[in-house]
Order: sequence, then structure tokens, then C-alpha cells
Amino acid sequence: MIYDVSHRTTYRYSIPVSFSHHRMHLTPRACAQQVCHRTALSVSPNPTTQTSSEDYFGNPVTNVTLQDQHKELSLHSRSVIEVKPASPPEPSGTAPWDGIYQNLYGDPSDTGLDAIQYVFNSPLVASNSAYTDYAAMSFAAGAPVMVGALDLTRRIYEEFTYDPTATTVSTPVDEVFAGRRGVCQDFAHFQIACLRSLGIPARYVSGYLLTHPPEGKERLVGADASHAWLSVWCPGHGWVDLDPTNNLVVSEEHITVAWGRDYSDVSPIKGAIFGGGAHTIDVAVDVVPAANGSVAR
Amino acid sequence: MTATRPTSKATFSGIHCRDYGLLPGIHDEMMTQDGSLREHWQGFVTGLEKMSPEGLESRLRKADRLLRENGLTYSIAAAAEGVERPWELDFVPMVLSTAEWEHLQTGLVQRARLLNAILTDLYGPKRLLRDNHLPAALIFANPHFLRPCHGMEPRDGIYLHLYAADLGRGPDGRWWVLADRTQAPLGAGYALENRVVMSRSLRNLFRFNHIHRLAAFFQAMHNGLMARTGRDDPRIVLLTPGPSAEGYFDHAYLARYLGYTLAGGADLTVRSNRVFLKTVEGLKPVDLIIRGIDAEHCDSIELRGNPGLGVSGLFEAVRAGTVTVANALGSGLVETRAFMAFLPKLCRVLLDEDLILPNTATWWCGQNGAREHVLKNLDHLAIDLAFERRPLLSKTSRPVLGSELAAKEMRAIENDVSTRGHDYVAQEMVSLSTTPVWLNGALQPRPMSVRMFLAAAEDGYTVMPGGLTRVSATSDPRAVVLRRGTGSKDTWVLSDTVVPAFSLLTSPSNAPAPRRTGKDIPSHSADNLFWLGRSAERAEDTLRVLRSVLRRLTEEIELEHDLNALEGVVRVLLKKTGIRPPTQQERQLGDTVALERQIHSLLYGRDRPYALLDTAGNLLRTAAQARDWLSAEAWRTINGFHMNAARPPAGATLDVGDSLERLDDGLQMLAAFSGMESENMTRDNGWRFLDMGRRVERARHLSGLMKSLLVAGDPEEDGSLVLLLELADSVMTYRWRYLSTPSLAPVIDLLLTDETNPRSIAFQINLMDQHMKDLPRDLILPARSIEQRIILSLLTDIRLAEIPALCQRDRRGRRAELASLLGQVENGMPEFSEAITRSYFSHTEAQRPADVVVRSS
Repeated sequence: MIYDVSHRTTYRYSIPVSFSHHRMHLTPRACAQQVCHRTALSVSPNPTTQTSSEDYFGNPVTNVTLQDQHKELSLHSRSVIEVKPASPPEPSGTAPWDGIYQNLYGDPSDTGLDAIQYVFNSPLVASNSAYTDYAAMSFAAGAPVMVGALDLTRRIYEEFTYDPTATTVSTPVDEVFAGRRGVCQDFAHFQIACLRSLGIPARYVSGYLLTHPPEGKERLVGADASHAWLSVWCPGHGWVDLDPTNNLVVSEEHITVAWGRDYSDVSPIKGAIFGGGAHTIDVAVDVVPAANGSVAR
Repeated sequence: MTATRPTSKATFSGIHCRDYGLLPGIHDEMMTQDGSLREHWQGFVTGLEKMSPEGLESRLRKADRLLRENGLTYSIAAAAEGVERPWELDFVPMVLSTAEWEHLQTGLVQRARLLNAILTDLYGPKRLLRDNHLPAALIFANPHFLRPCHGMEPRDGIYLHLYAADLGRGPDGRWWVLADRTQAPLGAGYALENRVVMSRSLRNLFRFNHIHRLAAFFQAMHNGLMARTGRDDPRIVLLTPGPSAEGYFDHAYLARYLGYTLAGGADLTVRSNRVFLKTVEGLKPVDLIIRGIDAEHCDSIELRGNPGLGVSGLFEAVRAGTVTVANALGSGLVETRAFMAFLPKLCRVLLDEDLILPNTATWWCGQNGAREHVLKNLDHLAIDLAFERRPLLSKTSRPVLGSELAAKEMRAIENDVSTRGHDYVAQEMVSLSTTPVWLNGALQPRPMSVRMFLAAAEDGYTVMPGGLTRVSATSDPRAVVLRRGTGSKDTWVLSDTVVPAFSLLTSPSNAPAPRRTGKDIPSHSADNLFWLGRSAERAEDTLRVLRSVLRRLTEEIELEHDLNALEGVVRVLLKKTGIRPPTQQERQLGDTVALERQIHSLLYGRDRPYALLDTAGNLLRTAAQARDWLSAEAWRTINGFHMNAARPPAGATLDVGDSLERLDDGLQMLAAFSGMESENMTRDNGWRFLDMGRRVERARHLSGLMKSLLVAGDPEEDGSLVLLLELADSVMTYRWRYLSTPSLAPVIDLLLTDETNPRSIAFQINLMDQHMKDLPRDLILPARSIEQRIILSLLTDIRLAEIPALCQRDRRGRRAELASLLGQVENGMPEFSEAITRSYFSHTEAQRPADVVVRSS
């Protein structure tokens, strides 16, 4: 599938901002399932400096500074992305989950190093025994890792309520767990915490969903803003993407922007502003199948 | 047998060493186990024996006073509340022989090179992980491995510009490294100050040794930093978390000694990927930042630290190569104790050398073998979290000793170590050597460790020939106990050759000066100086008012007649100070008890506005904020002023003599401070702000006083004029000029319109006008600034005022024109103060995060 993606964020300030820094993960990365045909990030008003680079996890990242007074800031990312269908492994044939950490511990290969870095505590996700206990119900001793991971995804989908009013961007995972409520970011963090508590590497993925589904299919939750899900490490196969908010294995309808240990590594926009008073933020995300592969205007 | 029972006695005759109680099986720095003095201590002991007990006592008092006055390790808040300093300097130095020093030097330089090489690899190619020399878990589980630092290779490959190590000596006499400090190594300033205090107060002790001086180390450090900027005339700042932080004294002392600007995060800003210092002269580019805060807090855009401490955009500036950060961002990684377990191997891998200085035996429980060892030996190990800084088992101090754990706690630890081993580290409990401290007039052995400091000089690492020795309060020789420990010492490294004796006495202000990088005035410093000027003047005003109250109420209250005459005057003072006036009955009975009790509380009480202690505390706090701009003498004067105010009262009832003396002493110290201001400070912009603060406060205070005393009533009769002249310190001027009792018109002229009287309002305003003209301004703006307009308008009104009109009463008996003019001054001063703040101090708006609302759904 080829998609036209548009993600526009507009800040409006009550008092002019004299100066600001922003660091953005708004440009989709290229990866095995995904080709980025065209991409552009426009900032208005014109920034004083704009630098694009790759972050530690290989995600494209852009830093801008605005040094002229402004009352409105618009950050608009547009891309043409081709997503290929994923080929997840047959769950029952995957490796037993309980040997994963021990095998990774002594594995200095590139693949091993890439996987093990996602098994430890990260700024927003710390494992603990409560998560271990919750997750254990999906992971019988010696069970194939994907069987457990899919069951865990299903349980989160069924036992947790999607509720944008229950949490904020800074709600800790244990509160999400206690209240069994939250949004995609919370569910992704919680499932990551469960998997890591069992010694299974898991990483956070930030991206988009197709805005209007093909006829006859239901619109997925989280389609009108940026979305988040996770990848679980499956030895011998690689990373498999799971979406607990929609209880599915990610295939062609998810567009990956960036991945990291948790939200803090890949938050779409981070910044520091000077002045500004009260402000409003307007986010508009639009993902449509490309008619002919050109950027929609 | 108790641990402290001596096994042998000193066999030499030294009076101070007679009952020196060596600990069994523990190495002592000064004495061998058979009780003879080690050779390298001979010089110190000789010096000590040659001093009379009285001489020694008086020198110790001097050292103590110097320390107090310098404010070593004072937390400012604690100081203002009169709390004693927590860190004692023991005058007995720790002495190191030449041979021992050379061994340590070689070992420490190797260690600095090794840690630097490890950082270079881990933030770059990570060969150590790929070749399986280090477990990946040790890095990836480590919160001090800062991913944004990956690939940010520092200039000349130097991560550690500064490095410190804590060393201890085991029972076999071998030195061990107890801890590495690589994040923002603290303490070199303390070491320097200990030396300065020691050499000033106890110079006799230095005479019998050749002792290495410290200045050369700082010079080499400075040259190294200069070289790393790649510029001829770099601007270097020391980034500090601020006066309330633990390391602030160290930062301030170092910055002052080396001539660097001390800056907080809010003093710096990044524009176009370059770091700038915000000064009253505008933005000045910064070439090198000595980092006094953890890297985690340095840039809120890249990491989740406290955004108030750092500089947003700093990481991008470092990536762009426009600024050097020392130590490099990310350096805290190798401070993790778990690394110690791998250093011997890494030393062979990276440097192809054997590790010279051994570590405390360390087991990182992320490894299977190590974990099993730890689980089997828990009760004689010290256990700690490998990475995090939160308390373990809700104990207040870390690490915890296996031997001190209750059975239940032990099981909890065992369980955690088995399931999440990579979060735990265990270390052998090392017995430290003892070194003499001065206790109750004699030498006593106490366990010690030494922090040693290294700097990356132009041609490799150099070690400070000295250090910061810390001693334990108890004789328990376990290293972990010392970490909870107490006192500090100067550290002497002996030299085989003569070191000129005078160099030891060199004080920071006249040390062979490392090159000055120019005195920039950060905006917040200008702000602090302005408020220091205001506080100092306010303190002076307050003391004068208190003294006048005291004089009048205590000496003259019994005379009914005088009291009535003084009624108006006293009322003004009482209103200012919040004292309840005597009741009719009290007055008739001549009962002054209630009044005296109130005055007593004003002079000695706490938490009362206008109280002496409150005023002094306020001045001390303000001065502490501007500490790095004050000379040692100026700081000592203000500290002395506070100590004078904090002295306990002579008794529970009011002692007028003592109180007046105290106020006189206080005023004298304030006069000394203002004398230093005008005589010793260069006329730079910092001084201008300090002086403007003083002028603002003086004009405000005097206009208020004149309004209360002169606008209504008959000031010539009721004593108001005398009081006013007294409060404005112009009694002598008046007498000299008029040779008569005060009358209204000349007093108004002298205190309001006379521009030659340094106490008059006109003089203050005129001077402010001068300062405004000399201060840097944006020349693009054609019009006068708001602050200039305020001043100009006041000055014009005062100059055009006619004295007879000011003295004229209206129908209601008020001097309306005088009231209006004084009112303008009284209101104009706060307006001026605000305008100054906007123009010079706050081109720095508060920063806030911008990502709060955007989240994924």
C-alpha cells in the first residue's frame, strides 16, 4: 500500500514567543516493511536553524530554533510511504519465551545487541513483580513467545478501557494498570512493561493509522491522531509489531514513524519556548491511500 | 577486647602522641604497628612539638575563624539561621611520602586514560560489547548511558577533563580505589581552600617539610581547558545548579580562583547552535562549559532532567562543535560502581597494560558467576543498587551491609538479586587505614580515605599533588561507614627537593594568575548585585532606626515631658518597627517593662520583620547570591555582621548598653562594607548595579521618613529634625554648616535638594542618572528608556523645587508641595527598580516545555 501522510501541528500563543527550540520525530523512518518515497517537513514561520539527523535508534530527527517573535507556529510533515504486508511467524512455532534473556545475554552479534537493549527499564517503563504476575497468566512455562504475546495483547484489549480522559501524557504505567484505562500510548507502555518483566525485549513504536478504512472495514481507534503500538522480540524471526489498542498484529494499515524504548525516546515534538503565555495546540493527521503516488496538496 | 583498645604505645617521647591508640590489624598512616613514627611524618610532628599548647590553641581558633568567614560548606539557608557548619577541618594533615605519591600518580593517570578509552568506545563503535569484553546489559540497563551522546565525539577525544578518585589503604598497606568520580568531580575547590586556611593559620607546621604546592595543578588544568577550546581568548563558564546545591561552594571557589564566570542554566542560552552567556552587555559567546551539573539535566529537549538547571539546545550546540563541555556529556557512565568489576580486564584490552591500582573487589550481579558468589556471601558484603540513586530497602544511607540486615530484609534482597541481578552490585567491605586527628588536645587515629584530582593538561593527565582527605567520626574502619562520614583534612605530598616556602601561603587572589577571560556580568548577577546594594542599605537604615528607638525609649521615656514632645517622632519609629506604644497607664507609672520586652525581641528575636537578625540574615542570603563578585574581605564583613547579630543576648532582660554596642558594631561593619564597595571595586557595570541598588533604597527610605516627619506638625519643636538628621547620618554636616539648632528650611535643603550631600535624595537621583548614562544600552533606540525618563523627571522636579514653597503649609496645616515631591520619589523608586529589571535582568523569560499536550492516542 502507498499512503499520503499529512501531520500538521499548530501552536497558537496568547503572548508572542520570543524564542523557541523544538526537536521533532515527524519524519517516517525507512525499514524492512516500509519505503519512504518522499518526505518534507515545513516549519512556519521560517526557522533560524533547522538540522536533520538520525537519533540513537536510527530514527530521523529534526531540530529547529525560531529566534524571531511569533504568535503561531506550524509544523507540517508530509510523506509518501509505501508499506509492505508483514509476514509474522506462525505463533506456535516461535521460540519458548523463558530462554530469551539468557540466550541474548551472551550474544554479542548485531542482532543480539539490537534486541537486548530493549529489555531493561527505560525512563517511562520500569518492570516490577506485579507486571510479572499479570503477564505470567499468558506465558506458561516453555510456551512459544508469540502465543503468549498475542494472548497478552488480547487481554489488554479486553480488560482495559479506551478512555482519553483517564490519563495524560505523563501518567505513570502503574496508574494505567491500576485503573485499567488509558489510550494507545498507555496500552503500549503497559504491554512493554509486562514483556520486559519476563525478560522479553519490547520496543515502543510511534506512527499513524489509515484515516478512513477500505469499505466494509471498521475504522480503527486512534486514526485521527498519531498512534502508538509496540514490537516484541521473537528470536529467529525478528521484531513483530502488535497493537493492543486494536488487538491485532500490525500489517499494512500502520505507518511507522519512529521507535525507541518508550514514548520519551520518540515523542513527536519536544521543545522549550520562551514567553508565549497560554497556548492552544491543534493537531491534524490525515492518512489516505495515494491515488498515484504523489504528495497530496 | 574492644576495637579501640591500643595494642602498643608510641615509643617516642612526643607529648601529643603518647596515648595514640593504634587499632589492631589496621594500617596506620603515621605509626608502624610497633609504635615508631613513620619517617615522612617526622617533619609534621616536629613542627607540632615545637608549638606551645597556647600557641596552638590560638592558631586553631584563627583557622576556625577563617573557615567560618569563608563560609566553607555552609549551606546558605543554614547559615542564615545560625546553624553551625557541618564539615570540620582537622588541622592535622594527611601526609604522603614522595615514593608513595609517585606510585599513586602513575596508577591514577593510567586509570584516567582507561576510563576515557572506555567512554570513547562505548559512545562510539562499542567494540567492547561486540568483542564480549563487557556485558551489553551493563550498558543498556544503565540510566547513565545517555543515548543522545552516542557519536558526539569530543574534541581531542577527551571525555574526562577532570577526574577524581576516592582512595583507601587496606591492612596490608596497599592502596585501593574505592570510587571513581567522572560525572562532575567535586572537591578540588575544597582541597584548595583547606590548604589556604592551613597555610595562613598554621604556617609553622609547614616549615619542616618540602610540600608540593597546588597552584601548578590548577594552572595545568586551565591550560588544558584552554587548549580544548581551540581559541586564543576563550570564554569559559562554570555551570552550577546554584547556591542551594551541595557543590556550590566548590564551584564558586574554583570559578573565582580560575577567573571563570559562574553561571546557572538560566544565564545561558543557545542561539543558532551556539551557546551564549546573557550579560548586561548582551549575549556573549561561550567556548567551554565546566559542567557542575549531571548531564541528565543539561538539556531538557534531549533528556528528561530538571529543565531549570540546564540549557535547552546544548546538545545540538555540542554536536555542531561550537562549544566544549567538560566533562563531556555522558561521562557519568563510568562512575557506575559495577564497572570496577571489569576494569582489570578492560585495562589489558584497551591499553595493553596491567591495572596498577586495584579496585575494591566488586561483583555485578548481572553475571551468573558473580551473582552466585554474592548470594553465598551476602552477610559479609556491602550491597547496593547498581545504577539508580534511590534508597535501597528504604534505608537512608547506602550501600547496606549484609551483616546488618534483618532476616526478612535479607530474604527480600536475595529474591531481588536472583530475579533482577543486573540492578545490583556488591562490594567487599574494605578496612581502611587510620590517620591521626586532633581530638581533645591529643592525636587519635581515625579511618580515612583520600579524594585525588586529575586534569587533562595539554600533554596528558596531571594529578593534583594533594587532595581532600576525609576522616570518619568513629574508629570503625569499614570503608562504607566512612562514606557516611564527616571531617576533612589538608593533604600533604612531600617533595625531595625544596619547594619555595612562600608558595604555600599564596592566596587565590595573588596566585600566579591563570589568564583571566574577562569579567562578564551575567544578567542574574547584575540582578543579585542590585539587590545586594538594596539589602545593605536597608540593613543600615534599619540599624539606624533601631538605634534611635533604643536611645529615645530607654534613655528618655521616664521624662514625661520629653516623651510628649517626642510623641510624633516615636510614633513614626514605632510604626516602622511594629512596636506597640506604651499605654497611658504605663506611661504615667513610668513602666517600661512591656516596651523593653518588645525591643528585646526586636534585637534578638527571629522571624520578625525589622528585627536585627532578620535583617542580617536577609543581607547574608543576598550576598551569598552575589558571592562570586565579592572580595574575601567584603564577604567576611557581611558574615561578621551576621555573626554579630546572631550572638546570643547578654540576658533575658534588655541590657541597653550591650544592645547599643551591638548596633554600633553592626553599623560600623556596614560602613566597612560600603567603604570596600567604593574603594575596592572596579567601576564596572557590576559595581554600577550594586551602587544603584544602594541609591534606590536610600532615596526611598529617606523620602518615606521625611514624609512622615515633616509634612505635618511642627518639626522644629517636636524633635523631628534632629531625629531625621540622625537617621540620615547628616548631624555632623548640619552642625558644621549651620552651627545652630536645626530649622526646617536648611534641613529640607540638606536632605532633599543639596546635590553635594551624599546622603541627600538629590545626590542619589543624580548618581542614578550618571549610572544610567554609563550602562550599556541598545543604541538603536533613539528615545530615552523608561528608567532614564523616571530619573530625569525626578531630578528635574527636585532641581526646580523652591525651598520656601516646600516649607509652606496649606489651609489644613500640611506641607502639600513637599508631600507631593517626596511622594513622587517614594513611588518613583519601585518603578525605576522594575524598569531596570525589565531592561537588564530579564531578557530571560522563563522557559517552559512545549510538548505537554501532544500525545499519541
